[in-house]
Amino acid sequence: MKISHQWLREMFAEGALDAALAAWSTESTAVAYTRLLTGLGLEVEAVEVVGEGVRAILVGEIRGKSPHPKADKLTVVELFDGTGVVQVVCGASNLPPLGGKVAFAPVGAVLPGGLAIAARELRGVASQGMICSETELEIGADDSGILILPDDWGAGDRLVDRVPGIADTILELGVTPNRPDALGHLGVARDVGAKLGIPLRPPPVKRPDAANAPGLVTIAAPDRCGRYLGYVLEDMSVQPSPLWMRVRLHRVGLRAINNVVDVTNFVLMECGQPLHAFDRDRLGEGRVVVRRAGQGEPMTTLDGTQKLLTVDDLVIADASAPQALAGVMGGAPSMVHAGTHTLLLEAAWFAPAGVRATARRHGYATDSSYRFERGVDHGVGLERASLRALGLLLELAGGRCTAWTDVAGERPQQPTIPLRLPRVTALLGVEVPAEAARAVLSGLEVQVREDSPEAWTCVAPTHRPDLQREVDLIEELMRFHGLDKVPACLTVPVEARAAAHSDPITELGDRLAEGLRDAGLHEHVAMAFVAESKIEFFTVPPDRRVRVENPMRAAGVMRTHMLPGLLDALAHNIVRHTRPVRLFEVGRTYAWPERHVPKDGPTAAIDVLLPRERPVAAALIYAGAKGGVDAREITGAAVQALARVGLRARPVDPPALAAHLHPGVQAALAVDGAIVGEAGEVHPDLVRAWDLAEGTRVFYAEIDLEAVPPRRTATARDLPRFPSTARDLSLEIPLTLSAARVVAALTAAVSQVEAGPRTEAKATAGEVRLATDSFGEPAVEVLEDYRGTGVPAGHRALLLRLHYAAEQRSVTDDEAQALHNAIIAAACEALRASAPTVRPR
Amino acid sequence: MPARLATQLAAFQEALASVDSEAALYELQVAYLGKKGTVTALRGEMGKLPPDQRKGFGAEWNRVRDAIEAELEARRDYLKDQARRLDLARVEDLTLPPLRPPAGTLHPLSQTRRRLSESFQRLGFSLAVGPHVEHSKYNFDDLNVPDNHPARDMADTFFIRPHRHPGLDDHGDNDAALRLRAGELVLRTHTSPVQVRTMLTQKPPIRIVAIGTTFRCDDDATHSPMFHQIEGLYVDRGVTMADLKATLMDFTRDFYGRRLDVRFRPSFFPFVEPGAEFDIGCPFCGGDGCNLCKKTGYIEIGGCGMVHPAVFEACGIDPEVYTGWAFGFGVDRMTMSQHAVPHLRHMFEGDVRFLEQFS
Repeated sequence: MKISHQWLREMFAEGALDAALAAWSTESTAVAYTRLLTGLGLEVEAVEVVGEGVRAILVGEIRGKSPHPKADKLTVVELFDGTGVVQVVCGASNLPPLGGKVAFAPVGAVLPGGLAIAARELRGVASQGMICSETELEIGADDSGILILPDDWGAGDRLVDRVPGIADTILELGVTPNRPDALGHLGVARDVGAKLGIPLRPPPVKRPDAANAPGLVTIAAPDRCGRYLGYVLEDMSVQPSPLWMRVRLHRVGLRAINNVVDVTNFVLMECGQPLHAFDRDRLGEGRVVVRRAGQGEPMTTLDGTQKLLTVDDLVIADASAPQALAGVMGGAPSMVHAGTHTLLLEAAWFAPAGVRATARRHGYATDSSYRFERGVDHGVGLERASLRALGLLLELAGGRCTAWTDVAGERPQQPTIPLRLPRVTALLGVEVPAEAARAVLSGLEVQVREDSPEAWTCVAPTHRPDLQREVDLIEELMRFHGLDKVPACLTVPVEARAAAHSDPITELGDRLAEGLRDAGLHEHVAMAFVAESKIEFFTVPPDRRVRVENPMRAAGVMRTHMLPGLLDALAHNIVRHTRPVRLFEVGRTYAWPERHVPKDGPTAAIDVLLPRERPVAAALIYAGAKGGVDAREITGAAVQALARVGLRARPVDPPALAAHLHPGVQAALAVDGAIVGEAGEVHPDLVRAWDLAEGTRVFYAEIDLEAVPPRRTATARDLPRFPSTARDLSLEIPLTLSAARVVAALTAAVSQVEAGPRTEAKATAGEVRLATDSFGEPAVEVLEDYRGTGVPAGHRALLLRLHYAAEQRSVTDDEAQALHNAIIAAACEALRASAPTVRPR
Repeated sequence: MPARLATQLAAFQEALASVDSEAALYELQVAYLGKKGTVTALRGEMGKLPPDQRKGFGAEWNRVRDAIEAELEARRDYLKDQARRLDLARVEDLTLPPLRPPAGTLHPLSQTRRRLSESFQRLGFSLAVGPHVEHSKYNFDDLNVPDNHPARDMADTFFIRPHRHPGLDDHGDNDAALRLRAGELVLRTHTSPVQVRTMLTQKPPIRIVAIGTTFRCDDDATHSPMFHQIEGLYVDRGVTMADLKATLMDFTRDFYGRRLDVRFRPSFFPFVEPGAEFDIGCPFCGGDGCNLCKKTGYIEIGGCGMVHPAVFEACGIDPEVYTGWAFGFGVDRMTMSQHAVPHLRHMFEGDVRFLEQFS
């Protein structure tokens, strides 16, 4: 919203604003306004000082015109500037006849755009200055020719004297949606006046002498139209507005059209009240009805588009058809045009939610709907705005008002608001003295009845629909008393505070992130939505995907997996550099639950309607152009992440193959036998789908945070007193038999051997056993995965090391070997059940 | 000296001259002086000598053994010294690019989130969380943003297509599912629904922060459709605007590690009344005006205010008994200004060359 300082000045007695502003602050106008209005919650987003360059512009009179001897399109003009005649070369085609007046920039002037006027020669003819257009002076948008000034202006007059306020300070205000009153100069002036203590004195208005003609307007939908004022103007003439009006509109960002449209726009910007003018001669029977549209009723709006309306749309119709979409936009048939002589001027109050719904439904956002949606004045302000428009129309377009009416629908009730002064203190933490409160409320035109010194009853003015409850008034007191007067002090003592706690899933995610960081991965944050094509490889079926109705960047599905986001990032990196890419992300995936899951607690009724959000930590490793990454780095990263929360994870055979991972290069991650995640090589089909080079090996792991058991506190074990003895073993196994299963078989074999026939000696503490590691787990190490010569096709050799110890003594080589042999035999036998080719080497 | 002793000594000395390692030296020692060594063997022959020669031979043998041991010792010292000098002669260039284990990083947004969370936990705020896909009742209605109200324009909303859970009919919640219309499920446009959820499930005193992902259909140089907010809520008897100011000043000092100028400006957010904007003096230029604060001397942190009584009423808390305040800050902007991140898009691309800067 653009606010003009010159316009604000006119809302007060002559000179009152300048004096009050100067008394309030010695800063420049721009700085003072910024501090003043921002302090009131009307944020000044930008300030522009305009029109300084216009100060040098004079009214010039054309005394002579002759064609340029060397250029067809140029004219040599003899111009009287009030003191003498100068010669100016001009290229415009709309030069007025002799005696006509133009805007003249003499030598030495600097135009608003920065152009410095100097004496020069144009194709051999001297030119002492320049005749200007609106755009060159930055006071209008018409660049079709030079600016023609009224004939009765005196040559040599300064333009700034003829158009007061042409030099101005323009404030760009960010007006919050609760303040429709501040969408006009009058409303902003009211706040300024209340703060500076100067009374409002807006331009006077006058009621018409004509008779009330109730038949002019009928409200058939009183719930949607609270009030409708209509005025009939006859014998008027549509023509361009005077310069002051055009400049004023231009300053606040509007384009001048003609005097009728300009007046409605002027009042919109002055009073914040949208108005509409119909060509009454084109209204059937010359009167209107405010009614709901018929379902599918057609209408062509001002912008020339045809709309099919619904029964929820409110229209202003004549006897046969809609002539305006109420509060949103006028209709084409009754639009004001150059030949209009008779007007019906509308000033109304339409219900905000209805206007908003209609504007949205038909894709409109107009200056009018913007204000009606927020709530315009339905009281004295509405009538005042309509009379202001009437006065200006009569002044600028001539004619007379022959009839008017003021019809009421259902107007909102002004609530009676109790205001308890102790409550002000209780909420703000500072007392606002009664005297100050009284002054603020009176400045805002709030009616106050002081029932007791501490309990008041207030009624807000109709231009402030946001003032509904006590807190709203307390906010007004805070705004004007000054938020800086609220002290900063803790109300509730520190010792009364409860202990703060974290959120377990957030905490776990943070720890896993640290583990992945320590494994050399960089944290990524990907968009939570992806393109549908990116998740087709994953197992969540289409009907369980959570879809965005109005997506951006064609990303219409909430991610069902973390991998697409990491692959996008990988692809981004690969085309930009050749370095390794090691990334992780901790985030959520989204899917509708397979089955209905009952929920508990006070939010259950809502929660059952929501998709399931699963917290996941995901990691991706790509070795870079040089290659050479070991697949075990990805399991290593995952294990390291879980170690951060005191858990020992190990890769095991996946219970089911993950479709997005290479079928031969994947594992599940287990903690204490429970699956908490997966790891593996990204499936070659995905590598292709992301347009990565054929053969690019990418590794991926993810941990399901909700499956991770609680963090374990380490419990110390006593250390063995006697050294252990190691025995190695090389097993020839099929490629598809996993190390995890071999280790499991060896561990199981230990129990089998130990459960065998027992001798007297075996039962003692001196018995030789498979040693346990520091975590109490069987000490079976996998040393090497050998796939070289000497191993049959489809096989590999796994080199393992087992440690043997006894509790009370050292172990001899022979004892260890005997147990070792027994374990190997038992393990091989067990493994051969599913893999017959297993054999020790 | 008996000839055989002399021969052995000479042979030893010749062999010793070519010994160039301690292992070879040990072998030599064993060969001459070990149990089965040649010199040791000669001592055994002493018994075969006539008694008058034995003494002399014994003394000679001892002399030879001592000589051998001394020479072995000397040679050992020499070899050790030689090895040390060789070792010291090694040269390695430690100014070559250092070899590090790969160093990972936490995302700058995570780092800010953690610091915010730590700061507020120090100030006694617990962490609360909520879903990203939210019902409009919690995202809007209960926060005093009714349908068809212009305040909804403050956040351009992503809508989620409703879903009928198979089997919902059997569980008596079917009515709610059937009532679910398009436009009722949204991606939360702010973290404020966590306020509602917390007030619905907890009794005052409530002192929480919620930090998380939020979504709005906005996509340009300074807006990402996905961004991050932190939300704070404090509800108890006697909570005032003065307390809000004090707490946010306290937080600023804790978070930035020094006192910064703070500024509160009246503003409007539907769920607070009175409402305010919270700015801090620019930590980079100290208020003189720089590019980061766009020459204003202040950085906008977010909105705050006293919880609107309508929000309390929607959550079943009596506004006559309890008062409260709330705030919401943009985590992304705080992060970007903290690290002078030049472009918002860097934050979500996952370019390792960007991410590795935040170790």
